[in-house]
Parts: sequence; structure tokens; C-alpha cells
Amino acid sequence: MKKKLSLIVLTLFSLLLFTLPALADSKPASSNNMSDNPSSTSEQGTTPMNAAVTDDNKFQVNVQFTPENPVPNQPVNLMITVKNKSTGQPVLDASVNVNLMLMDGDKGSSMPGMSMSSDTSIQGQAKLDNMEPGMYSVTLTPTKQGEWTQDVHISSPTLGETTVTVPLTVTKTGPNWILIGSVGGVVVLAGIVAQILKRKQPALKEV
Amino acid sequence: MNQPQSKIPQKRNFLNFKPLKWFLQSSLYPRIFQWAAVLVFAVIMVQTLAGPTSAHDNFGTAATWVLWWPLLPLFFFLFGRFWCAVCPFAWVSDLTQKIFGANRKVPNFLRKYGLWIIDITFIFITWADHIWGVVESPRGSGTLLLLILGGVMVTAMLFERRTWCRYLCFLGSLSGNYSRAGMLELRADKDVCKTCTTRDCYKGNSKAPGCPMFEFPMAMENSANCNLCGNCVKTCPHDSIKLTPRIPTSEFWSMTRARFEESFLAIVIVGIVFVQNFTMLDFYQSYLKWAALTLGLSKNIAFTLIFIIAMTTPVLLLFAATAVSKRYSGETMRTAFARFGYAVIPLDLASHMAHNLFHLLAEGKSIYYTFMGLFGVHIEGPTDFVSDPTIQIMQYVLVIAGTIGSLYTAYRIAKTNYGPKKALSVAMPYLVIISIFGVLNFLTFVVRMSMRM
Repeated sequence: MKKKLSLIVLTLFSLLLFTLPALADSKPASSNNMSDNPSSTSEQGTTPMNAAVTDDNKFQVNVQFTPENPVPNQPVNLMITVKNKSTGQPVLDASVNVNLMLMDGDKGSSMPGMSMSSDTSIQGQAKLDNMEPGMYSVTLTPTKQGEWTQDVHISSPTLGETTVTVPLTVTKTGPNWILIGSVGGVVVLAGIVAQILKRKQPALKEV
Repeated sequence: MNQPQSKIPQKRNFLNFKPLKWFLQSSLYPRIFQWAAVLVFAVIMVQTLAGPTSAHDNFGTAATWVLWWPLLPLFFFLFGRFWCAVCPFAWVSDLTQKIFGANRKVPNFLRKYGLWIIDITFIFITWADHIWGVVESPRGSGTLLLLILGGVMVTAMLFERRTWCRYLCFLGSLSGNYSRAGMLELRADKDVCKTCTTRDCYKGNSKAPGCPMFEFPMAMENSANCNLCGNCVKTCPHDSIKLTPRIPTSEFWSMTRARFEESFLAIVIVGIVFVQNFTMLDFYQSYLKWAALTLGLSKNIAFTLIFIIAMTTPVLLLFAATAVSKRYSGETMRTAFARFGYAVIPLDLASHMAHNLFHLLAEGKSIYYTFMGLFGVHIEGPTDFVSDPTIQIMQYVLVIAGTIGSLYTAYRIAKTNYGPKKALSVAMPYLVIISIFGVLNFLTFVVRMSMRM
């Protein structure tokens, strides 16, 4: 009886140990999930993500944002580097405005479009940042999960205007209820077994 | 063969300090610490399972891997397994057992193979960390904590005392090994215990339950399974328990019974710490890519191969040292391996501390930032307390101290068991191996490590 019981417990434990991590909603980590170097930031979220680089006739624009995997109601820091394409010099006199808009297309509407309510359309003006010449930064907070677009409008008295559009996916990763439920289920099952054993114990002692 | 020295100088007993004894005998201990730990643990569980998915923003990740994990080896060294007495899982175990426990005897299978299960689990978790992400993934950490919580509750419902902590907790085995190198020990006065007929320390009485770790203080030879819960201090009617300081690593010199599984874990930890260090070096990614391309494998399989090599190499080297040494000692391979495997524990402990020192000192402020994040306050800024070169110097000092500690331990084990004349020749192969481990560890700290947060 004892041997059987120990085998059952160990089997359950082993099953939990070896199968349930696969159910966890953490994405498979890159092998260097301890590294914070730029080449391996897929699991980090600390290093700016190089979201878009655009070249038109006059501007060379690079847009980065952190965290890499934005979640609802958490600030996203946008860093926009603006350079003069012909000279490669940073543009310091630009006015950089960002418009963050939630796309409705993935929410089941018949026509893909944009929602224009106050919490699905957020504007902000980027200010010159001291981190790098020509870098402008602004912090915006997407309020809902879904596919957002970031329209970066750049206007310079010397070079003219341009607009860069960068997608932004906001995901809400909640708890893994399958995992929590599985562990809870096993615990409840063990509880039932324990109660049965508890009731049997005095009977065994009497015998 | 020389027997361990029987003359032990009189040690200072901390329990002679009345306020400390009163505190340990009161119901406040360890409850007051446990409640604090449970409170923090609850926040960590919620954060890792349902909080921000980015480690950078998750208080659970910061509190676990930047604060708790780096401080843990230091705690083991200074206070033995005190952490295990206040561990929230132990609290959960006691509570679950009180309400639902069937209190069955621990199966012989677990008694016999528990340490091997722990060894395998520890290796598996380290591997899983690199494949699925545990440390840097809040959800991965949450999954691990949840599985441990489930395991604790299941064993507490079925079996008596703290079966999980004693026979299944992967951290328990690590803490057991580290505590044995530490500078605090709890023992009973054997002369007093000989006259005892009640054995309250094991059975328990109205003042407190018996030893939760299945230990009988009178027969306790090592600190591996004593978690300083204070139950025996409370229950002993003869005032037999002593809490004394000791020379670090001295337990390894005087022990009479070496266990192969414990030595095996000690030597495996050499490989684990090396993998942890190596995978955080800047060139590791390009090395892994090169290995994967050269062998035509995926990165995960390439890592698994590197991992297997890192785990087995120290074991094989220790076996090789044992094969050479046994010519002088005349021991069997198994006995000599078990006896000298403990010698690497000081180096394990020092390397573990050195590795995590970087995370604690270079990323420590992230604990505050993420804590403020719990209240909706977003703070960004430098995370370091001290500069990288300062941390590096501290790491070097630790690794050198650990290496010297291991070398001295190996020599003392040889001296105690084979006499002063044979000591150096028996210990020499181990001294060479330990020096190699020490140099390798030292080299990994020369290059700057990557951050966790």
C-alpha cells in the first residue's frame, strides 16, 4: 500500500514537473535568456525595440520603443531619432508629434478601421532627449490591448515634413488558468485521498 | 585510519544568552518571521502569475531573483538553514497538514531515493530555466513556485512532518550542503540526552511539535537537515540543546558518514554555477550560434549538449581524482568520491555568492523600482548600488576565498581520515581538480555579466 501510494505521488509529481511547464504561457525563451545584449532581447523588454527605420528624400527616421511587449495601462516610451538623410546630421529643430490609435480590425468589426474615442486615440509631443543627438522621446500609455498604430509626424523648418507609421501590439497576458487549475486539481485530488486515508487509519489500528 | 578527534574545545553556547533563549522558546519564533515571509511570498506569487510579463517591471521577479536568491547562500553560511524555518512553503505545509493531513509514514522509497530525486529536479530546473525561461520570465518563475506549492501541499496532506522539505525540496538539498559549510550549528548534549526517557525533541509535547525534519538532535551529526525552527529548544525538558558557532567547513573534516548523493549534488553544482556564469557572458550567444550551426542543431539542443558536458565534466574529473587518490588511500571509489565530494562545497558556495553578488549589487535598485510599480508609480533609473569594477573585485575575493576553503577542506578530510603522513598524497589529486575549478570560475568573472532585470 505504502509503495503504491508513494509511486502514485511521485508519478503525479513527475507529471507536473515535466509536462506543466509546457503549458505555461511563457514563450520559449531564447537560449540566452539571461543576457541583456541587444541581439537577444526577445524576452527582456528592457532594451529598446528597433521598430522602424524610414528613409524618405530628406529624413532618416528611426523609431524605438520600450517595453518591447507593451501591456494595457503601462507607459510605452517612444524614442525617435531624426537625421538629415543627405548629411547624416541629427535634426535638432524638428517638431515631433505622435498619434497612437487603436485599430478595430481585430475586434470583430466588419471593416478594419480605427477607433477614435479618447482612450483609443492618444496624442503626445516628443521632446528632444539628451541620450543621443537628434533623439526625441515621448511616453504614451495605451489603454487597451490590441493592434495600435503610431503615427509619427515630423515637421522641420529646414527640411519640411514627413510621417512615419509604426505598428504597436499591446497584449494582455493574464494568469495561466490551465496551469493554476491543474495544480489546484491535483491538490484537491490529494486532499480527497488524504481524507480517505485518514478515515481508514483508525479502522486499520483497530484491526 | 585515524578517527575524528574526540576532544572538542568548549564552544560558546548562544542559548546562554537569556533573551535569545526566551525568544526561541516563545511562540513568536519563528512565527513572526514566517508571517513576514508569507506576506511577501503572496505578493510574489500574484506578481509572477498575473503581474507584468516583463521581468523588468515585475516585483516578483526582482524580489525573488535579485534579492532573495543572492542573499540565500549568505544566509546559509551565516545562519545555517534558518531560511527553511521561515520559508513560506514550510508554513503552507504545516497549515495544510494541520487541516487535511493523513500523517502517513514517509515511504521507504522517498527515504532512500529522495536525495536523488532532488538532484535530478535541481538539474532539470536549471536546464528548464535556459530552455523555457524561469528566472527572466515572470510567468516561468510563477510556474515554478506554483508547482512547488502544489508539491508541498500534496505531500503535507499525505505524509507526516515536513516530508517535502526533508526529502523533495530541491532547495533543501542545496541549503543542506551550504549550511554544512556554515558557521552555526545546533546540537544536543549527548550526556544529558542519555538520561532522557521522553524523547520530546522528536515526538513533540504540549510546547511544540517534534522535529519537523525527522531529526533526533542527540544523534544529529551534521547540520544538513536542521532548519533551526526552535522546536527542540522549546520541547527539551532537560535544556540539552546548544547553539554554537564553529569554524566554517569544519563539519566536513569531522563527519563519519559521507553520502554519495550529497557529494554528487555538490559536484554537480560546480557545473551548474559554471553554466550560469558562462551563459551570461557576452560571447556566449555567438558561441551558441556557432555551435548550433556547426553541429546542425537547434539552439536549444546545442545548449542541452553544452549543459550535459558542463554537468558531467566536473563529476568525471572528481572520479578521475578519486581513481588516482585511492592508490594512496586504499578506499573504494564510491567511499572516496562521497568523502571528498564535500570538499567542493566551499567553492560552490563562494561561486554561487559571487555570481549573484552581481545581480544584487548591479540590479538591486530594481527591487525598489518594481515595488513602487505595485502602487502605480513608474520609476526608471540606474539599478546599481556600486560600480562594476568594485563588484568584480568582490567576486574575485569570494572565488579565491572559496577555492582556498575547498583546498583546505580537501586536505583536512584527508588528514582526518588517513593521518598527517598520507594526507597530502591522498588529497593532492583533489587539490589539483579544485584548483582547476577555482581558476575556471575566476575566469568567468573576468568578463562582465549580463543583467537579469
